[in-house]
Amino acid sequence: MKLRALVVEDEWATRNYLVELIHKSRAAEVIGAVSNADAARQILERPPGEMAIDVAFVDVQLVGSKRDDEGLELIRAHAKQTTAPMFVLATAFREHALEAFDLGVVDYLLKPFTEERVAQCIERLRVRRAAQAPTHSEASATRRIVARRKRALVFLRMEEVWAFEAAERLAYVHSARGRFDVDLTLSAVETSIGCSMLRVHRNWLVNVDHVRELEGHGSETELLVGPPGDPIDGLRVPVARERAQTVREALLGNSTGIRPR
Amino acid sequence: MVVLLRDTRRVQALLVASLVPSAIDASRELARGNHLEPADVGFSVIGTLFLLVLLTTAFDSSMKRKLDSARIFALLIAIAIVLGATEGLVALAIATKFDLPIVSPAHATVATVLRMGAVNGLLGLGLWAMAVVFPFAVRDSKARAAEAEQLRTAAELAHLRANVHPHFIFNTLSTVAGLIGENPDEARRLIGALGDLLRDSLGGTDEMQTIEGEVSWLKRYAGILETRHRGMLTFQWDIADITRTVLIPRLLLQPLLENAVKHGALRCAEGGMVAVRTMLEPGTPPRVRCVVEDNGPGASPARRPGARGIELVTRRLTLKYAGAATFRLESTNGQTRSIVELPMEI
Repeated sequence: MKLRALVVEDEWATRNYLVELIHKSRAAEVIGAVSNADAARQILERPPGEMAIDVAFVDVQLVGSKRDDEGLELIRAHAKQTTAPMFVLATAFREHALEAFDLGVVDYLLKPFTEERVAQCIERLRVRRAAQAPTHSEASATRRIVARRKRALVFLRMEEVWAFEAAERLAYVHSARGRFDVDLTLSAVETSIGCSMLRVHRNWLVNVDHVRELEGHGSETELLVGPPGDPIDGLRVPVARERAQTVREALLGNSTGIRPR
Repeated sequence: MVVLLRDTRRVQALLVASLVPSAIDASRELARGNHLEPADVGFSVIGTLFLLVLLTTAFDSSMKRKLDSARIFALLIAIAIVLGATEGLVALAIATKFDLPIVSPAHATVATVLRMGAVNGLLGLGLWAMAVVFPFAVRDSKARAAEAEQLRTAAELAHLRANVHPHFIFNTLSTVAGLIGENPDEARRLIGALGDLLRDSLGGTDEMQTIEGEVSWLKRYAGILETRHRGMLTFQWDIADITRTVLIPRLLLQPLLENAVKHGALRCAEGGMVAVRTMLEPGTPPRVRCVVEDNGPGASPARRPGARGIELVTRRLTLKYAGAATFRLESTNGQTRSIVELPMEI
């Protein structure tokens, strides 16, 4: 089973990049990527089993905090707990290495990251976890992703997700519970948490299981995504012209009832 | 000799110095109640002057031939002893032949005259060194001290100026790495901007630059930060046209902007704003006021970190303006303002 990772990094491009590198290792998956320590605390303080995390990658300096080493403070507060995940510090300098070692941090990634170094780190984490008792059982660990509305976090099961949409700032996730922010760009979502989704448009990733209707208006194609019933509850998603054929085929492979034109 | 004569101060020094042994001699004789022998005094003055001129000429020509100092020293001692002894002999010869009271007849053996002559020659060398070499040495060491002070100031200023924090560089590189897949154009723009910043902060030769130049540097710096913290940071620029050509110490405002971002705007959970303003302060003479303001949580400036940046700015102002420029930090209802006031220099 893959390692479940949480990424705590305030700079969006670096966050995206680390998430992509973690997924590239194929031995780990990111279930939450957040930009500040408060969000990280909310995730780490969930009851065990509900949001099981194996490893947290933490940046030392986090914006929106009162102190310069908020990331270390986060690790200090959680490292001693029995349900704590393994921690990896990700920062520009070695200046905190000694304290990190004292806190039991498993690895120390220097920025800018490289693919090899992140892969090596994840291998280390796997070896370490294999030696430990598992922190959560496979069964209890439902796959959830972390999204937020303003400062409040929501934890969505992957099956609940209708679609991801590129937003002015990073991305939105749409679900029956509403629209939330995800602190990753759509392309990072596509390589990580949304890798089972279908890219239908430059700005849209769609969960094929929730597609209800495919509508053609002349040369324009639209998907209606959401629960069956009242169409107002649903979500209209444009399909890019050059992707229309691929989308059609993917939907046909996935369901019955839609006739190809 | 010609070289020597060109320097009137040295000639004066030599003339005065050549009078000194005779004056000491004469005052000693007078104290003992003896009367002065004009021939004795005259011979002594001429002899000393001749020795001093010869020493100077020898010194100048050995300097020109770049002899090392030990050799010059040996040469000068040899000249002083030989010439002193010769003068003693000459004095004895004259005294005997013309019956002049130059040398006291009681000691008038060749051996004592040679010994006293040599000692007089060495005393003359000491006198010469005092008169000719000492002023040079003093002037030289003063010049060297001034040069060292200047170098120290220049080095300190350069050090104070090289203030793009390594963290900034590594974090920007990290952003570039992340952007390459996402937005290659933006990544390229960032590399270019970072290159410009580093070039200007490392290699800037002039200590002063115009506010126009300073602001364009700060805008690139701010642009990188805006990209890195997209949606979390906004900048406002309010640069009075009349101040654009005013000279200020290069990158003086950078630590203030860095503080305003790091300890101010980015401490806001929902993102913050930083404003940079420059304006003319009317008065005689008129002054320039530069303000860096943020809306971060900074109730008490004293409790706010970032003292290092403030230290940099105040130290540079002291080195450059020695009290003619001021820096202060103000904090009022959710806004923190760093204010620098400088003499207007164009």
